[in-house]
Amino acid sequence: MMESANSLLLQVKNLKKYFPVRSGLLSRITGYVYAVDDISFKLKKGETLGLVGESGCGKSTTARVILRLLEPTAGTAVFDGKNIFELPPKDLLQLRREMQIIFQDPYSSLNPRMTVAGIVGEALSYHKIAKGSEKTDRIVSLLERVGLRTEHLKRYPHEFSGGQRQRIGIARALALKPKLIIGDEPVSALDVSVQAQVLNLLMELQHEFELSYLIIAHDLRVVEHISDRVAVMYLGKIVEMASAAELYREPLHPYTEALLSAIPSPVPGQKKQRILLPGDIPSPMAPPPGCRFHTRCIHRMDICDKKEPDYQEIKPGHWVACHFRT
Amino acid sequence: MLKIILRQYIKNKLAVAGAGVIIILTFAAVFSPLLTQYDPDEINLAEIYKSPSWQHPFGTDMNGRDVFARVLFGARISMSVGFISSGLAGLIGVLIGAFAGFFGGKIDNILMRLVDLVLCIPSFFLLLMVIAMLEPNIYNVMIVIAITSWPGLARMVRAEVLSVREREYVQAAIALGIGRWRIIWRHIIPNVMAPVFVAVTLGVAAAILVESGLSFLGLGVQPPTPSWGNILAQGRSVMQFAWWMTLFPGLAIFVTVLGYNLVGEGLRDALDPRLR
Repeated sequence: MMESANSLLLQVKNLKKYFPVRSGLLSRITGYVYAVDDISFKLKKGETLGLVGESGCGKSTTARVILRLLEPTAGTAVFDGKNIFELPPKDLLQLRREMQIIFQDPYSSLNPRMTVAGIVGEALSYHKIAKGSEKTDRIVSLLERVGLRTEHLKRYPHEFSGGQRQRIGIARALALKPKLIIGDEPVSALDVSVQAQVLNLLMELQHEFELSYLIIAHDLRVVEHISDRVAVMYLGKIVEMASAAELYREPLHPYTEALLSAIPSPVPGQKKQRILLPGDIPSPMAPPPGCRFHTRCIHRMDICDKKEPDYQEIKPGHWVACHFRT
Repeated sequence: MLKIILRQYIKNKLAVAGAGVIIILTFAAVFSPLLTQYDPDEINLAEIYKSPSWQHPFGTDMNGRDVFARVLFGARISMSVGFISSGLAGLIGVLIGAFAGFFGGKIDNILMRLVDLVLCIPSFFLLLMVIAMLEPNIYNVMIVIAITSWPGLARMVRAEVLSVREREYVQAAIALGIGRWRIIWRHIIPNVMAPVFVAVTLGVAAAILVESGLSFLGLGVQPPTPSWGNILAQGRSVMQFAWWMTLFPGLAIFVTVLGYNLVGEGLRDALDPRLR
């Protein structure tokens, strides 16, 4: 037991983030968007946790709250023994060097007016880690590590392709030698062939730099490829979490089942049984009562719109929140 | 990046003509002593009210001074007032707009109400009042033009900053633990400068007009120092027979303001990726 406690890097408990909705002349708060509503998960050192769900389910908000780019409404997140949400500004600065983020859009995530050397090296000089030729050496070795070349140093982001830009973003994230990298849809803006390259690069870097990843994606194949464990989010809640292999082999939550059935088959012509979900995702401003998924569920029971299902461990390491399965 | 903008700019023939006019005028202002044999303040009572000739291309005034020399030296005043006051307004506008946009909340509210306040006051009357209280000289004119023309810029910069602040590279810089001042300076301001350049260029034209107006009313540059406005004022009463005293400084103002406006609009089109 002691060992598992030591190898724990990040523990998120009961995390909530509500965005107030203001309207009217006096901009009174007339409601909330329940973007992230009471989620908990753990991330071990060297592990990759995939977070999947459709757009608007709160995946990116979760990432931004953990990095404290947004302030949480409630909950705790303990990173390496420290609660991220209670750190004074000075310690927060230190902590930020240990957690980094890779963004989805390789076009808006790099400052168009800075050279590659400036983008990757900014944090090094700002935190007085390296300067002069030592800084240049570090930038060059980072660039080479992510598959770029020395002559790229003086170029501007618009001179690169999407995949190369994403590599620059990865080099920037690695510059401070973080322990945790959060990837907010790191490959979804890239071509499929480039996606695989970038994912493989991320996996290589993970071994080399002993990184832990929290990878957010809406593409289940991406997550399956890279993750040790996968959490499925729906309307601000985690509905199921299991090891990647188990989740794909034996999904328990009907939402996960539907998602998995939507993955196109790699074999042409092979018929797959698709589960079509009726209706749209409900508004996160007014989530349905009881189980949030009951409006679209194919296994719906009487209890589902009355009582919210508990999130419980059905099998070792396999958590699910569903009345139908428990 | 620069190459693309330049190529785009050259496509607009009017803007190129405007840039040509401004370059010529700037040279004329800088090298004015070399371009005329006359001293603009030299009085020659034997040569008063001479109409334009080869000797005096723009004629002479009531003191026999060469109008061409006076208009050339007046270009120095107009150009420097235009540049400095518009540049100063740009500086104030960018700083205040950037702070308001980046920090938001109370700071934003206070600064934007200040902007509203300044915009409420009819600026020309404020100018007249301030100049009347202070000493009317070229430096006061520059400062007063700057403090009445920054609010529009500040608003524009604030709106740009609000959109740039949410871009992912700014979020990435925050996540890297980069300080707020450096983020404003390195990540935000460089990315809001394109519309600022346009506004400052157009502001030069406006400032030249304001300076001419003030000098015309006797509240700007004081005679005998020549400025386009006060040459016009001196020529006003003798317009019926000495038309050259009003025509040439008037033309100079017209051409300069047109030139800056053309350049400003050309820049706007060249810098705006949506128009490409």
